[in-house]
Amino acid sequence: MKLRWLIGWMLIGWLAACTHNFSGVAPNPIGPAPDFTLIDETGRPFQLSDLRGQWILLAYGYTHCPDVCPLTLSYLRDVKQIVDPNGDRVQVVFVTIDPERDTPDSMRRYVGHFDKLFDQKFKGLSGTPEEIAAAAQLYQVKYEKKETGSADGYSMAHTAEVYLIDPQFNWRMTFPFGIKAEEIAADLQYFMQNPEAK
Amino acid sequence: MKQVSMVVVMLAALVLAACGGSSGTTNGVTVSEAWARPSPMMDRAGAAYMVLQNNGAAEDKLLSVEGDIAQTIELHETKESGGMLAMSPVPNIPVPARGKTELKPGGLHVMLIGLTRELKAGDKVQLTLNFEKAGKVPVAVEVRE
Repeated sequence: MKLRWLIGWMLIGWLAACTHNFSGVAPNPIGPAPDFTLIDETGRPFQLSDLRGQWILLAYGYTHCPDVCPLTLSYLRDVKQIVDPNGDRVQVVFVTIDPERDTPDSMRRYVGHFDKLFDQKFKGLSGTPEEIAAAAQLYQVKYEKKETGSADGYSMAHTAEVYLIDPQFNWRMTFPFGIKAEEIAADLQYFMQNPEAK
Repeated sequence: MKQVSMVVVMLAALVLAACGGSSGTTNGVTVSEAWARPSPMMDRAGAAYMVLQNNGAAEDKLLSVEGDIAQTIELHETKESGGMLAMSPVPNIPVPARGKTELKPGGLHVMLIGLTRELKAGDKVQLTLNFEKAGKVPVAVEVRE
C-alpha cells in the first residue's frame, strides 16, 4: 500500500517537472512556416527563411500605430532581453500592413527604436500592397484601412498576434495580443531547453 | 503647547492642500499614473495613458486635452472588432460617479499628433485635461518605457 502511494507521488512529481503551461497556442499539426520575400529596412530583398537556424518572433503592424504596435514591439524587445540579450539565437521581424505609407526608411527608424539594446538588429519589412497582402495571408493576418477622421490620417485595423518560428523553420506557436513578455519568454525558453516539446 | 500643535497641524494641512492642487487634483477629479512611451519617431503620433478618478457624485466626461507637446491632441480608443484591433477617435471619455476610467495600452488613450519635441525617457510633459464638470485639470505625464 505504501509503495503504491510512493509511486503515485513520484508520478505527480515527474509530471509537475515535465509539464509547462504554454501561453501561446500551437498550430495543429506543427509544420513548416510559410515563407515570403519582402524588402528589409535597408531596402534590400529579404527572405524570411534566411533566418533558418534562429528562433523568429514575427509580428505585423504599422508605424503610424501609437498604441498597439509599440506595446507588441516593446514586449518583443523584453523577450529578447530576457532570453538572448547578447546573442543571435532570437530574431524579431516586424512586417508592415500599411504598404501605402511605410517605406524601408520608416521601418528602419521605427524598429530601430526598439532594438537599441542589442547588437543584432530587428528586421522591419515592407513591400508592395500585393506582396504585403500575400505575406499577411500566409499567417492568417487580417487588416483593413479605416478612415476615422483623425488628424493623423487613416488608421489600420489589424490582428496583432505574434508568431514563433523555430530554427528548423517550423511554425511552433501563436501568441494572442496582450500576452506578456515574460510569458512569451517562458514558452520560448521551454522550447529551447526541450527541442522535441510540442 | 496645545496651540502650537494646532498651528503645526494647520500648516501641514495648508502644505498638503497646495501640493494636491499641483498634482492633478481639482474639483473632484484626480488624475494619476500618467505616462507615455518614448517616441520612436518625431513624425509619428505618441500616446499618453493615465487613470481618471471621479470623486464626485455625478458622472463627468473628459472632453479634450491641451498641451504644447503636439500640434493636435485627440482622444482615441482601440477596440477589437472581428478579431482585429481598430483605433478610432472618440468624442469624450466618461468617468463614472465615484468611479474611475483607466486609459491604458490597447484601450483608451490620449493621442499626441504632430509632436513638437521628442518624447524622451525621464522627461515630464505637461498636459491640461478639460472635464465637463471638473473643468481644467493639469497633469504631468512621465515619459517611460
